[in-house]
Amino acid sequence: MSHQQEPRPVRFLLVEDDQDHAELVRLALAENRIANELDHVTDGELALRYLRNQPPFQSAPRPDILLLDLKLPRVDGHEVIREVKHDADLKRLPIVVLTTSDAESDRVNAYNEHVNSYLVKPVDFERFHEMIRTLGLYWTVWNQPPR
Amino acid sequence: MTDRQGRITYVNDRFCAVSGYSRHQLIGKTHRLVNSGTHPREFFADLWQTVLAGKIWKGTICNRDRAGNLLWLATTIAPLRDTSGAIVGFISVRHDDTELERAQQRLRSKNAELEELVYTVSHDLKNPLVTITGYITYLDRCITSGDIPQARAHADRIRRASVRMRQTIDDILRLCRVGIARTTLAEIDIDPVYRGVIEQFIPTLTARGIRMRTAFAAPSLRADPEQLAHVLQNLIGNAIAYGCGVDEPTITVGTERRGIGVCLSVADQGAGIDPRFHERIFRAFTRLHTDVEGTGLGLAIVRRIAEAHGGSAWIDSTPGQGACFNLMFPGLPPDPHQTEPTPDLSRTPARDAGPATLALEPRP
Repeated sequence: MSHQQEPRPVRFLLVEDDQDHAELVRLALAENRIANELDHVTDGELALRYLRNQPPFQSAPRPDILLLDLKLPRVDGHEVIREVKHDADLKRLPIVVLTTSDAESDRVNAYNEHVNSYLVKPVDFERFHEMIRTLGLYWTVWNQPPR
Repeated sequence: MTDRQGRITYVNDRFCAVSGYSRHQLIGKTHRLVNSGTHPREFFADLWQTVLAGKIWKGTICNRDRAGNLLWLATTIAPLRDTSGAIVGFISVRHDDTELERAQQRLRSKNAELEELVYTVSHDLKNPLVTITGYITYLDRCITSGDIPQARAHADRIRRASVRMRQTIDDILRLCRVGIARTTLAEIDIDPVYRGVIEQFIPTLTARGIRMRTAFAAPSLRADPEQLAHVLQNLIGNAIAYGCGVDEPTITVGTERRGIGVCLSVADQGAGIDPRFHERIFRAFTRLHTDVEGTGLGLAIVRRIAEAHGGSAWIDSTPGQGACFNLMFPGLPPDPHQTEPTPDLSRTPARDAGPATLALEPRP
C-alpha cells in the first residue's frame, strides 16, 4: 500500500478572551474532523507566557499555529504579533489573526507586523463553519512549515 | 512690504505684535526668519512663480513666531510695480487664522477618533452577534435531538450575549451623550448623591461583607448632578468587581478641596493595577479582565464626564496596594460653548441625583 499523505494532528494555540467564541472554534474544528489539538488562553500576556514556557506553562508543548484575536485584555493581539515576530526562537510560528474587526488600520498594522494570515469572523454561522473548515484543511493538510 | 528679493522693507505694528519681533529685527530680513518648516520647498516655489509672473498669490502660510509658536496666516501677496510696469517688490496682506486652523486640527483629530470608535463599536457589537448566530444553530440541533440540558446551556449563552449587546449599546449612547449634551453645573451636596447611588449596591455589599467608608472633607462640589451620580456608580461598581478580593474589603469614597475645585476619589484595597495600564484603562473598549462582565466603556465614560467638567480623571495605584480613582472637578465651566454655568447656586435637591440606569453591577 502506498503511503497516502495522512493529515498529521496539528496543535493550535487559540488566544481568545471570549469563552463562547473559543467554544465555537473548537466545535467547528471537531465537526469538520480536523485532526488537531487545541489549547486555549484568554489574553495576550498568557499567550506569550505559554509560547515561552513561563509559569504556569513550563511544560506546554510548542503549537504549530497561533490563532489570535486582536482585542485582548492586558497585552493585545498586535503586541503578541510583534513580540513573536521579533523573537528569534518564535518568529517562524505562523500567526493567523481570527477577529471580528475589519478595521483597515488593524489589517495594515497586522501585516506590517508580519502576520501570516488575517481572517474576519463571519457573523453568519454557515460561513463561520466553512471558514474554520478551510482554515483547518489549509494548515493541517496543505501548508508545509519548515521542519 | 518686501523688495523684489523678498527682503522686508516695511511692516505694520500688527505684524510685529503677531510675530513677536520688533520692526528693526524684521526690516531687511526675508520671511525665512519666521519660516516654520511646515511647507515643502514646492509650496514657496509656486508662491514665487505666481507673484513674479505678476499675479496675485493667495494661501495660508504657517509661520513660527519668536517664541516658537506656530501661526497660521491667511495671506494675499500682490506685486508692486514702478511707473514702467516692472515688479519692484511685493505687498503681503495677512490675517491671523491660527485659531481657525487649531479648530480645524481639533476637528480632524475628533473625526479620526470617531472613525476609530465606529470600528471598535462594530467589533464589539459583532462579537456577541457571532455568539448568538452560532449558538442558535446548536440550539436548533439540540431541540431536534431532544437534548434539553444542552439546549438550556446554549440558550444561556445567547441570553448573555444579548445582554452584553444591550449594555454595549447603552454605554455607547452614554459616552456619546456626554460629548454632545450640555453639562449643567450646580452646587451639589455629595452625601445625598452618594446615598442614592449606594442603594442599588446594598445587596451585593451585604452579601460580600464589603464595608463602605466616606470621607467628604468637601461637602459639596460644582458638577452636573446626573453625571456625578453616574461617575460614582461606575467607580463604586468597579471597586466592588475588581478591588474587593481581600479579607474585610473596604471601599472609601472621599472628597477634598483643591484650589477652587474639588477632587472626588474612590479607593479600594484590592490587587491594584500595574502602572503600564494606568492610561490604557481609560480608553474605550479596553479591558483588563475577562472573568468579570463589562463593556470596556465604563472608565472612558468617567474620563469624558471629567473632561466635560473641565477636569480630569486618573488612577493612583501600586500593585498589591489597592487602586484609587480620582476625578478633579475644577468648579468652573471649561468651555463656554459646551457648558452652561448655572447662575443659581442654590443646592440641587437630592432627588435630581437619582441613580442612572446604566447596568454596571458585577455579576453575583
